[in-house]
Amino acid sequence: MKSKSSSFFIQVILPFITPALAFYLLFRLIPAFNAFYISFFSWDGIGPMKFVGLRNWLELTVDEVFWKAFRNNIFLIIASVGIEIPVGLLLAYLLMIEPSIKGKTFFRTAYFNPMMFIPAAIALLWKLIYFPVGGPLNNLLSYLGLPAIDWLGDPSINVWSVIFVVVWQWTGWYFVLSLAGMSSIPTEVIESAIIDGASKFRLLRSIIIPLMKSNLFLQITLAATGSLMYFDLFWIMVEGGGPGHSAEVLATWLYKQTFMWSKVGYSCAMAAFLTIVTFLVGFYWIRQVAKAS
Amino acid sequence: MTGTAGKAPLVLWHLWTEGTAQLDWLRTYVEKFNAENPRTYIKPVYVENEIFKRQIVTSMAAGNPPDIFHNWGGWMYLFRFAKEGKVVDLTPYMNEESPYIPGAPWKDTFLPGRMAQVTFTDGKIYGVPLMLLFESIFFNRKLFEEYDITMPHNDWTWDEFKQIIEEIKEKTAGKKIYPIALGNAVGWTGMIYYMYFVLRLAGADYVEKAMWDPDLRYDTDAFIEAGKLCQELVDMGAFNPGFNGLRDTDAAMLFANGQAFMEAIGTWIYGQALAYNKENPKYFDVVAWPHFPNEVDSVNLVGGGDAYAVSWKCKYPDDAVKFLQLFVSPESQKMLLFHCNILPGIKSEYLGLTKEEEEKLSLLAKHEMELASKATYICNYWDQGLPPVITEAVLESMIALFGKTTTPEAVAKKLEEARQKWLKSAGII
Repeated sequence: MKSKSSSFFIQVILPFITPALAFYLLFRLIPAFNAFYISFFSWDGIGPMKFVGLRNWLELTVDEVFWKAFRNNIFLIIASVGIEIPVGLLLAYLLMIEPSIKGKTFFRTAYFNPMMFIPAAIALLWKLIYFPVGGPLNNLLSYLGLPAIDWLGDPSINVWSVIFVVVWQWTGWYFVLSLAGMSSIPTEVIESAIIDGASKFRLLRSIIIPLMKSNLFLQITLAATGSLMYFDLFWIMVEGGGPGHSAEVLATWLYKQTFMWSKVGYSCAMAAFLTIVTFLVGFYWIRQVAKAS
Repeated sequence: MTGTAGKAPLVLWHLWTEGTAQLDWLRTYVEKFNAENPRTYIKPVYVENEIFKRQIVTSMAAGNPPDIFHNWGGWMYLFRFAKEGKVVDLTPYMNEESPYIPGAPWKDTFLPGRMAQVTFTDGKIYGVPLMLLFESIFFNRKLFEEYDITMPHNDWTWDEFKQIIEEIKEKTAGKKIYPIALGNAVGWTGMIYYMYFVLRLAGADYVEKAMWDPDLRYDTDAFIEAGKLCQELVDMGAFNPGFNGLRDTDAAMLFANGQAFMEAIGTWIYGQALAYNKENPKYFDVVAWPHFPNEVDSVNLVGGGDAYAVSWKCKYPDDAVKFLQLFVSPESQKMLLFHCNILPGIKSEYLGLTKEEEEKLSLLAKHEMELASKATYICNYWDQGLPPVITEAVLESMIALFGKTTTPEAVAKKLEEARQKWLKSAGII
């Protein structure tokens, strides 16, 4: 029995997973372990490497920018789990439960549309919208008699200005995931609940959400790990990180340390830390997904 | 591009966008070289300024740098590669004559200040200076006339400067026109102010020596005062709104479109502004930085300029040098002066302007020459000239200083800490 299953693994499963596994090893696992290794060295990326033990890791604990960036990533997790997923779910539910809505396909496409733009284009588009001198958003504010806002320059709000765009972009993604999750719920269950007189809210709360538990946990996994590693829009919209690094995130800080300031050893310590945190968060939620299904 | 068939390409990274006068200049001489050279051709590749700063480091580390690459001399983008043997040593070529300037070794034809910025501590020359850039206050004559505001002049004081700002604010109230254009999202534009104030208050000699001398400091009164002056300008509303979130290109656009009276920026601004507006840059003029009663230095400049270097991966360094010799030939440097309003990197005796040519110079170019001729020293931009550890502290401090999330004292302290780190890593202390 045992030999049979192992030969099944070698002959059938292995060939199928080899391409993905090779890719995963080559571009994910090996670089991740390599980063751990380099994190014990002082290295500028060009010259020779010098072993420094735990110095990079200790520096991490006192790097204020690192912790500020980490806090911004937590904000991003809160926004993506707290806004993107619920809004995506609600939009999907509305499209599913209201068969009379006209132009369903249009809405489906429209909601998902921001996901189809490349982040650089979105960043530039929103930089224009936020433009402080004569940008459309500030023009609107002045039309309403409100004071202009320095969306990307004011250190107290710029992180939220970017997070807003991230939410705008990614809600469509969770909308599609929810839509897919809902379509796998047997229609009889929903129909019988409606016949039993369940309100639309009750139907969502007591039938749809519980049945979508594993799907939602998966969404949370993706949102949380994705938010921890998020880079694109912050990088282009607030290149310098904002005054006092108010809009720095871990990935942008890491990138700057590596490619601008050549502190490769230090940034590898940061990358290794980020890998551990992301792994733990991912691991916890993947287990929840497994339990739920 | 003509004349490229069957030849090997020499990739050249430059930073000039479509529409700038500088790109016209580069293209003219690339085409000339490509038409004449039998073996290779120059293939210019545009890289955006901020992307360049990262891309060049990555490409050097990965071993696939361009054949010829832009830099500004100094540590950040030249010496740190040269020190690892990644840049071709140009000294042998520099000791010979350039075919375009007979009678002197090539190295002696450049301005000594520019040559110093591409010469490493071991005495080897790693770059070819293309031009002389310096920072100053540029202003739009037309706007000053239109609003009947006192025109800036070379002897103006800090108080006069502030009065002019107030006057502009008063006369443009309610309009989307501002005294000074600034886009400080990445920090080096704010640094220009800070560096100038330090230069005025501590002197060029101090600024030059402070990088190497363990007995000097960055947290002196002059540095703290410089930070205070920067924040004074922020507080009085001298800049366009949103400057913390804008780039230098955004500020250039505001200035080019006549939405700002002045901009403290480099002499490249004329050529750059043409990409946004063909009309306004004609009215650009330049003036010295305002003077302080207690200043130590009244004439020296912050600046440097673009240089090109040849990477160790270049298979035809002789050809690359041939192109560079053409690009800094008197004829090409004259085009730089007349077409881009940027001062040449070669000495005026080798440039050989005729009387007629001198008369044809624009007001802007004449005034630039006047400022440059007074200076005895040009202090290289800290974000190019200094090693990465100090550069990082400088740039992030400047974003924070102008964004008012830090104090002048804290900035000076941070710079000094970074300097100490550098001195330690370089084995000086």
